[in-house]
Amino acid sequence: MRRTLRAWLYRLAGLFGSARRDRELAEEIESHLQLHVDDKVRAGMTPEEARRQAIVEFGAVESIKESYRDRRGVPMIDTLMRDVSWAWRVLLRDPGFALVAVLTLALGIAATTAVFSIVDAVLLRPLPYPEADRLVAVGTADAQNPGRARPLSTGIFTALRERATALERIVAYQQDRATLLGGGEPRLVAVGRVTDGFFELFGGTPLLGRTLIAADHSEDAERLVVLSHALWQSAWGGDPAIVGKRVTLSDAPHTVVGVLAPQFRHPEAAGGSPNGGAVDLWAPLRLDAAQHLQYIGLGRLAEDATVASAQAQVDAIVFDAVAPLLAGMPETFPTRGAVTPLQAKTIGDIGDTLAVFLGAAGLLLLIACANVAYLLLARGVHRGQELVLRTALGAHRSRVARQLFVESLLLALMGGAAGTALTYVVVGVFQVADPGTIPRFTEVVVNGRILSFALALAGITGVVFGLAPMLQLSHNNPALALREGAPGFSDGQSARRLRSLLVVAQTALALVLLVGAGLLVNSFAALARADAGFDPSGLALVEVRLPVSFAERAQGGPFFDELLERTRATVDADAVALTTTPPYTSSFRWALVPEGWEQTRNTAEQPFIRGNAVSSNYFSVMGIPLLAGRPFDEDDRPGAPVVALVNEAFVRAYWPGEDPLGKRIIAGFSLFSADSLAVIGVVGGVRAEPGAEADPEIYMLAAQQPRRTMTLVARTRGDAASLIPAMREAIWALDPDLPIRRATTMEAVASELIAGPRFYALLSTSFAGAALVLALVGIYGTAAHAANRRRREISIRSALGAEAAAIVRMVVRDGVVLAVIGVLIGAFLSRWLAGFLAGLLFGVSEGDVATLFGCAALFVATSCVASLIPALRAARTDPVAALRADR
Amino acid sequence: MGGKQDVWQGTLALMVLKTLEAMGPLHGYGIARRIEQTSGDVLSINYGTLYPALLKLEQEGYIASEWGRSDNNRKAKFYSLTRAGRKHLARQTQDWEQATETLARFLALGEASS
Repeated sequence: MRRTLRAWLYRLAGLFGSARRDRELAEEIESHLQLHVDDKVRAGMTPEEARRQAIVEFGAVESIKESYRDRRGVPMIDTLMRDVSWAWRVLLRDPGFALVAVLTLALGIAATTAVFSIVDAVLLRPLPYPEADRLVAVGTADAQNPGRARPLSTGIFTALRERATALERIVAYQQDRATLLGGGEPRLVAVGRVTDGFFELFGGTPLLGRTLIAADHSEDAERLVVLSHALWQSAWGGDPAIVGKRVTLSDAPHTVVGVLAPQFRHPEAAGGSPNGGAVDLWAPLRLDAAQHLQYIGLGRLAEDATVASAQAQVDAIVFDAVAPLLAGMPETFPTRGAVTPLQAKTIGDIGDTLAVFLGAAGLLLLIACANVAYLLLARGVHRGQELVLRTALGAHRSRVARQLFVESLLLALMGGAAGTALTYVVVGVFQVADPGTIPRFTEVVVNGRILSFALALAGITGVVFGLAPMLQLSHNNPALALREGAPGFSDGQSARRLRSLLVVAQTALALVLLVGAGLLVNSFAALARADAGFDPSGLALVEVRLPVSFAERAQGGPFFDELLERTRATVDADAVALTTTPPYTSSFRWALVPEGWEQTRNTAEQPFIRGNAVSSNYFSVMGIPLLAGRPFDEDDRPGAPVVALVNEAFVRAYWPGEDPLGKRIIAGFSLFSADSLAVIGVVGGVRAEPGAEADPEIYMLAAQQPRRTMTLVARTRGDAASLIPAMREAIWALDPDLPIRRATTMEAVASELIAGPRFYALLSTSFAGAALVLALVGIYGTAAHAANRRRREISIRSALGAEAAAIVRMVVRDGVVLAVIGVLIGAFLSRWLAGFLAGLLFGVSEGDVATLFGCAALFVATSCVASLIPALRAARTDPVAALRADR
Repeated sequence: MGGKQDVWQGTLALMVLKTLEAMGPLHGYGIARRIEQTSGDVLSINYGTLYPALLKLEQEGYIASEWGRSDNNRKAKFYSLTRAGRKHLARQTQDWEQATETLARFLALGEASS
């Protein structure tokens, strides 16, 4: 056994340095012969005779050399290596072809691998936490919407922590924005408030200092914070002496107790929107005594628990906890739990969208393969003589087929290598163009698994398009091919049909991608254009929150009045207004009962209506139309009857078909300055986000309903962003310590909200563009081939006086015919496949005929152009010269 | 590639090893001549077929090779027996002797009873 192993190792080694060993063997054989000749000569023969006999007695030298070589190396690998070096030389002979083929493949492989890297990071890889498969999000739900998870209250959370044995650990989480002083300039940071056990749950290890321990969460413990690595770098420049430093967070002194390692990724399911701003630091959460539903629950299942068993247990505990509070609560009050695996919750339903794009990338890869197969077949025309000769000289057809296959594989591997390099570039572009709407997008990376995927793709594509030349091989008649003047090795009917099939397939698939891109682009355009209900251009927003010392809300009113005056005076804006909730911002909701609501409805479903407190000129500044009644005027002020404006969505929802003016709305159990309001007017609805409908909304005068948090809105005809510094100055002139919570322009906000559709539109357009180019190459090739094949016919025709235009038409038709067939097939395919896009579209249906028509027309037009080039060339060749040169 | 070839290669290998044991280090031609002589010219082999067999023995580690000079000063590759080769030869010789002995007994048995 050992000996055999030793022998095999020597044989593997024998694969290298074959030239040297061949030489050695030749020397040894020569030496053998010499010795033999010497003996014979001594016995009396002549040297020549001796040599001849020695050679005879040695045996067939070549055959012996071959046996020796077979034993020396590993024959299968030897042949393979020979095939590879042969294939390499063949490719080098035609570098143009090789380059085009490799680039085409690289394009297809890079696209598919890049999208796969997203799919892998978002859907396939487990979350980057210890025992990620047992992590769950815990919330409440009401009986009518069991799927929609809502937050926990203090009571529910503590009950779960004590009694839910199916959960090995549960923490409560709340996110907040606060001003941080002590790290350079004052900055607004995202604070993650957590209960004990958060860092253990998510594997947060400290780089410096420590994370929070149980003792830090008690009422009288010193206030500590743990910094994120990013914040430590940007605010303190990575100062190693950070631990123990004092900072001020929302006006309270805190001490830095540690810095987290840079690899830590805050769980997105706890952060609101995906990638919705990384959390900058963590602090202990002091559970509120109130019973609002405000905490996100995160936990880990116990060893022997399942999601189902945990759900059952949580249901029971939640019900017990809320039972005493149920009296008088609406039916939408949660009475049960919602336990969701954290990965599922993080991913949401982005999986469908990603699958669509993976499919699109796959189509592009197929088109690329078809292209390369086509190129290989086309090239077969020129190699015909060579291959046939080899067959005639005794090479087995299987050997020739195998060599063609190796050529294809080599091409595929080169394409794979180039595609892998291109993948890095594409993924880099993705990371820069991150739309912010895809969860876990920051985890996208090119790692070993992705590279193996690319390699596998290369192998598969090599097999797929490698079949083409082999198919061609089986159709050929050597005798015909060797005859001079015959059409050539592979230009027979069946070969042409194969090529035409490829072009038609390419065209159909390319049209599908084109239509998909067209739909997504139209959808995005519709989204961007959609009437928002107000005029978003030239608006600057700056949000401030008055500190608790203004808690006497009466003080808040005068402050904002003064701010308004000051801003009007100092900021170069056309108009200035105040609002609590600018458009595209989530707002608090007021519990209100519109007049007549209780009588007309059976269920005591309490309406929670989007509320807004604004300055009197708000609607004119925002460009929101007044549809009925009157706007706020000077008679409306503190002390006067409290009035409100509602939007048309409100009227449609609660008073359909009735005249809303003069109706009253009764305040629910929220903090209102009056028991009821009178409706004085109706305004147009403002969309909650681009593409969504307007929610019912109620507007009150800020003077009559003052709030602590207001956004200063300024409109200008020029660049809105330029107003922001002046607005900030105006605020700080009144109170220099006031933190600015948000300063942006309306256009930036809107743009961010449609970043997702924009990303999809761009991505699909890139795929479609690449597909179009590849398909056009196929069309061009067909026309060029047709022109070439019909060279004699064309020459004769033009010698006989045919017009150039007629010849051009003839060639173009050859190319365009295939394009039209492909377009028709593609049209059917895209009608069928467009259904997958339905969820992504806005304002345009997936069966939109205009888009289909437009793409088809575009394709046919570009095919005409692509066919035109060889057509013009054919028309221009001198017929006499062509006829003479043609054999 | 049947069993016949393997048996032949096996016997050839054994003859090579034995030759080297008896004669000491020898070049390929010398080994071939010696085998021919010893077999009483019953075996007439093409000398060249020896070389693949020599390579196999070398790969298995039973013999070692070295370039040197022959008696009449010709450059030649000399092969010599290694320790492992010696042990292998001894084992194989024993196996062969046992096999022939057993066979002989069988044949004798037939004769005795007939």
